[in-house]
Amino acid sequence: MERLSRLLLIVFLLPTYGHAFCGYYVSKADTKLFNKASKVILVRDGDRTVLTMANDFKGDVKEFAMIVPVPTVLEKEQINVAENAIVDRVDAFTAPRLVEYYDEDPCAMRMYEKTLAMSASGGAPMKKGRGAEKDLGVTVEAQYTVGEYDILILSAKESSGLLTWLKENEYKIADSAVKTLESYIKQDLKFFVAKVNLKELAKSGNEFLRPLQMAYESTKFMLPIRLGTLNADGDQELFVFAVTKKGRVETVNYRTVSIPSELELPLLIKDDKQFKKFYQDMFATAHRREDAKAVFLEYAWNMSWCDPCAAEPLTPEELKKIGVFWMNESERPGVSPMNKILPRSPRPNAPVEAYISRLHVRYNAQTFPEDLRFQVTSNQENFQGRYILRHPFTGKITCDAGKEYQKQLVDRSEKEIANLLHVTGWKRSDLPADLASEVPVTDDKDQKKKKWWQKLWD
Amino acid sequence: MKLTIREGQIALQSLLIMILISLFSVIIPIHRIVFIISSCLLTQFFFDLKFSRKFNYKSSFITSMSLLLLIKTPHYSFDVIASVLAISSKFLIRMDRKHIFNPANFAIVMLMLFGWAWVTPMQWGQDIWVLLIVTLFGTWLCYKAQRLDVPLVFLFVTWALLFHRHVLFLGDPLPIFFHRLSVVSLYVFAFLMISDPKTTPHRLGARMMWVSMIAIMSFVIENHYFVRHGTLYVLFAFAFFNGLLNKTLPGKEFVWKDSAASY
Repeated sequence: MERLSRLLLIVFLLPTYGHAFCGYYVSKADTKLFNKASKVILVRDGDRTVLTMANDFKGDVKEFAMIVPVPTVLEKEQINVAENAIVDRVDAFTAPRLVEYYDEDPCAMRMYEKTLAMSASGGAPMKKGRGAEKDLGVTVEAQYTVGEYDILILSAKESSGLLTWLKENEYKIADSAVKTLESYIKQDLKFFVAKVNLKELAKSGNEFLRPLQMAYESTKFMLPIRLGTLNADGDQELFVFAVTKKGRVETVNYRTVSIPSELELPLLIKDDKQFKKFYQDMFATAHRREDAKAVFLEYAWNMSWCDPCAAEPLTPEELKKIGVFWMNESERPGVSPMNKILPRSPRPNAPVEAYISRLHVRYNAQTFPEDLRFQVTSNQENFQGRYILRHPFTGKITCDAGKEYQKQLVDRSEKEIANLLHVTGWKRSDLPADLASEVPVTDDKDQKKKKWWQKLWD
Repeated sequence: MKLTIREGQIALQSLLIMILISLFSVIIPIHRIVFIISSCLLTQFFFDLKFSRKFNYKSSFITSMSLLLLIKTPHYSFDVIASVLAISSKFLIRMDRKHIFNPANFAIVMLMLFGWAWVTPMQWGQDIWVLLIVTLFGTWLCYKAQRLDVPLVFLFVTWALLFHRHVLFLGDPLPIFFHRLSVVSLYVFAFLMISDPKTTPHRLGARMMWVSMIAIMSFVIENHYFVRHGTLYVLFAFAFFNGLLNKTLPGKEFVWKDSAASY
C-alpha cells in the first residue's frame, strides 16, 4: 500500500517535483581512485560460476601476462573476452555515492534533494608468461586464442617444474612463487595462463586490454589472491562484484564489514577532488581500524533498481554480458515506461533475480594470507555507501521558524565536521578556515551566548 | 556468588553478544532479540504445560541465546520458526527418554537446508581477546559439566588436521595455518555447542570417539567437498549415533543439578 501511494505520488508530482525524487548526480568514487586495482565480477548460482577479470594494466602489452589458478580445464567455449565498458558499468552502478539536498525556505517547509555518486575501484593484476612442457611435469591441457589473448590451460605435477616452464616461456614469476604453486597443484587446481597476441590486438583495433571471462562449474567458491601478493610491493586493491540469485555474498575466512555510510558531511566535500580524497582517506581509516584484515562491503542491492542511482541499472543484455546466465531474455529488469520517465527513482516493479554485492579488499601477503573464500547468503537487505550534503537555505528568512532553523544549522554544521574528522582521521586544522562560513550565520552567535531563558521570550 | 553451569553459560553467551554488538559493530535488531527469546520461552512453556512439567526457562533461554549468537535470517518470521523448531525438537524427537539433537544446532541446520538462514563464522574475526575469553570461560563451564574432554578432543583433532593439510601436505606458510585455527567461531562451537552434556555420549571413551569422528568428518566435507559450515551439519548427523553409542557402550547419564528435567 505504501509502495502504491508512493507510486501515485510520483506520477502526480512529476511535472513539478521530478527532481525531488530523482536527485542530482554530483560525483562518484569509482575504482579509478585506487592504484593497482583489479576488478572481478563473480556471478554464482549453485556450482556455476562466471568470472570476469579486469585490471588496469598500464605497461607495454607485450609484457602482459597472467596466471590464474582455476578448478577445471576450460574448453574454448568457456572463455570469452568482454568489454571494459561493461565492467565500468557495474563499477559505476555500485559506486559509493554523494547525495545533495537543498534546504527549502524554512518558512515554506519544502525540500529538494540531489544525488551524487561515486564508484569504487578494484584489485591488482596478476602477470605471468608461458612456455613448453618437456620433462617438467607440465601438461598443456588446452591452447586457444580468444580475442587478443593467447590462452593456455596447464596442469602440473610439481611446482618447480611449473616454475621452470613458466620462466622458460618468459612469464615473469618470482622464485618465491614455488610454494604457492605447489599448494595449488596439490589442491588439484589447473592454471589458466594468458598473454597478449599482438597480431590479434592490432586487428581488433583496441587500445586497452579487455577483461577475460570464464565460465565453469565447481563447488569451490573462492578467488585466488595469493599469487598476486608475490610480485606486489605493498598493498593491492581488489574489487569483487558478486552477483547471485539469492542475496549478499560475504567472505567466510575474513570478516566482511560495511563501509561507514549515511553520513552528513560539510559542503566542501562537493568539490570532486575533495570527495575523492575523502573517500580514499575514509577507506584507509576504516581499513586501519579493522587491523587491515577486513573485507569491506560497499554496496548490496537488487540489480533492478537503485536509490539514488550512481548509474542506471544494467539492462538484461548487460546482465547477460557480465555472465548472469539464469537471466531469461523475457525478463525486463525494471525498464517500464515509467522508469524511463523517472530513471533514478526506485523501481517497485518486478525485481530482477540478480543481487549484487560490491566487496573492496585491500590486501597483502601478511594481512590476507589465504585466498578469499565466499558464501552466498539469503540476506537481501539493501546497503550502499551514501554520503549526504545539505545546502542551507540562503534566502531571506522572515519567520520565527526560520530563526530556529538557523540555530539548527550551527549544530548541523558542527556535526558534519565531526563526522568528517571521525571517519577520515583528518585533523580540524587540515580543514579550510572558512568552513564555518558555509552556514549563513545571522545573529546565531549572539543567540548562542544567551541563556536559555533569555531566548525563551524572544 | 556461585554460578550454576547454566547460569555461567548464559553469562558467557550474553558477554559474546555484547562483544559482537559493541566491538564488532554487528547489528542485532531489538525485535530479533525479542522474537527469538519470547518464542523459545513460549514454546518451552507450552510443552512443559502439556507434559505437566516445571517450566524450564533456563534451558530454553540458553537455546535462544545460541540462536541469537549464531543464526542470521532475512526476516524475523524465520527467527520464530527457528526458535519453535529448536525447542520443539527437544520434546518431539526423542529416543530412550532423551532428546536427540542439540536444539540450536537442529534449528540452524534445518533453516540452512531450506536456505532460510545463514551463519557468519567470521563475525568475531580472529580477535585474540575474544578467543581467550571463550576458551577460559568455556573450559570452566565444560569442566563443571564433566564434558571438558569434548572441546579438547575436538580442538586437538581439528588442529592436527589443519596442521597436516596446510603445513605438511600443501606446504603453505605458517600464517595460513594460524589464520585457520584462530577463528573464534571454532572455539564457540567447541565450548558452547558440541559439548552440550545432554546430547553427547555418556561414556568417556565413546564420547572421545564420537567427537573425533565429528572433527574428522567436518574437516573432510569442508576441505574436500567445499561444504560451508560442515561442522554444523556433521554434528546434526552424528546426533543419531549418540543413542546407538549409549546402548553399545553404556555410561552414566548427565543430570543437571539445577533442574530435574531432561528437557
